[in-house]
Amino acid sequence: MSITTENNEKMITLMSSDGEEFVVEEAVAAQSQTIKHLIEDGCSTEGSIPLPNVTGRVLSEVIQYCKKHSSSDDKEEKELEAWDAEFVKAADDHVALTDLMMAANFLDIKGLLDLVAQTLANMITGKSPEEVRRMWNIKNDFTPEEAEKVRKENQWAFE
Amino acid sequence: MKRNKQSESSSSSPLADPEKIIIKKRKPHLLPNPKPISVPLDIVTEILSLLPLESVVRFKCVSKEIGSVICDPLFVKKYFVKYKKPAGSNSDQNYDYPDNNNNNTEKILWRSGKLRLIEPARFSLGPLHAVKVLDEFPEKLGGKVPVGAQDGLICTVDGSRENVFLWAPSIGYCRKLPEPIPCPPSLSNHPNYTNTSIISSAVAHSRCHAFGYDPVHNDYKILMITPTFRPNNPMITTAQVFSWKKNRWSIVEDPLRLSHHIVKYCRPFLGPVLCNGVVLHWQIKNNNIVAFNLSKEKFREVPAPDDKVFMGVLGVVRGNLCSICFEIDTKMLELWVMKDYGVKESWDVLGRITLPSGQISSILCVTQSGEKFFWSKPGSILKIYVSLVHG
Repeated sequence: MSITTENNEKMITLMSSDGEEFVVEEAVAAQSQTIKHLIEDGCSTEGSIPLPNVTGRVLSEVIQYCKKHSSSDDKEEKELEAWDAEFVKAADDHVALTDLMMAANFLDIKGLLDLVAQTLANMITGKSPEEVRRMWNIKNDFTPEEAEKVRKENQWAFE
Repeated sequence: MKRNKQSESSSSSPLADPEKIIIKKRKPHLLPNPKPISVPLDIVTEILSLLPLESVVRFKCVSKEIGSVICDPLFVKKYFVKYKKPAGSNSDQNYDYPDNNNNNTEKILWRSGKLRLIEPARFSLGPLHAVKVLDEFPEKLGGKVPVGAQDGLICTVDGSRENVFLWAPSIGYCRKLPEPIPCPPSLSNHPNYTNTSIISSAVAHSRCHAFGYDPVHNDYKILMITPTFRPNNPMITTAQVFSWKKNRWSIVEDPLRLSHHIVKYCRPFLGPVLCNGVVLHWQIKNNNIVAFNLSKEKFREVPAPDDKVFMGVLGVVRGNLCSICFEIDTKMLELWVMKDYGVKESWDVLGRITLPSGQISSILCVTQSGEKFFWSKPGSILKIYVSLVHG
């Protein structure tokens, strides 16, 4: 559905995987290349744009980021950086960040993707393979012999 | 019911945003019992590419799938591109030895045993670790002859020159590529050559290889040219290309028999020079350069300057293809540069130098800035360079 506000901004409606609807300015939503292409293909003229991979909780965070970044063209870069830092700090566990990163990847929002990827990278830099497996629920498919061999080959990275 | 999120004015801090506070309340709790999530591989890859090398290598132990992601040449490339020097320091003046795009560099450093030198420019990593891995490689797989290097990946061949290896030393990864397509066998009916091992050894040493990245298809490719010798017949050559993405070799059409010239005129150990993005170049004889486009997988000829004695060494200087020539009258070496790619008239002399006689066995390469030559001295592994006199 496409409506217009008193400021003459074109609005579009996004629908999350759990059925929550968000009405946002087109310019805000179009920071997502995926949504931009959907708008260009005329998907926004009939009802809301469904985003089956993104939950309402994550989508509200994504929109928050897009709003900030669409309204801050003339703002100081430093201020925006500080805002970004606060933004990822607010979602400071790896589950929320991974959800956010998957959404940024699906929606194709480069700035957000880079921001969250770097945050997650900083988070796991010093971790052990066991900790990484636990974080992302990754199965250890090495046999004990294979694990020993791989570890031995890469011993310097454990020292 | 619709929730109009747009009506709220945007605030400068997420903490001041009432929406944000609600979101925080909904957040799942932290450890010890994190919600099990499964992460798509492309997300993991993106994060891995941002980590310091030590972490990347350590995480090869997380799972087989993640280990294979880390060892994929395209990941290695992604990783090393990010690791390259920050923007603004693109000048090569800081190096006193050549770097990217000059395949000869690695050979020099490799052969001279000065592997430490390869380290800071190529890999930007802690020096000791990679040197250690470099030393270990040849014993491990037998791929002792370097073909070329790109973005932290090194391509080598073994003694038969038939088995090709791709190696990412810093990540500690090495793979033998599938067998190439069989070429017509070399025959001999001469009584002196009943020993077929002589022929196979000759074929092995005449084989030419080249390794490069194809940015058009985001792929790594290896070119191999195999000669076939038959008595009383001209040599024929078979050119084939290995694509990392397709994981197979395929025959290259070569109607003008240009690959034949490469085998005939080029010293295999010098290898081709990558210039103009995706094109490999060999100096074949006076007035001719053969080029191979890695993306189109086609051979072509590129004009060279007239009336010069070529030293058989091509290079890249300030992004332009260059050739080192010997001027008989003055007995000086000259550095010629093709300023407009593919245009014969654009060849111009950039600098010249007089070299002490009897000291040079072979010229190896020239630095990217065109300031220095590298050459080897007879009977010595020591490599020497001199600065060019410009003008």
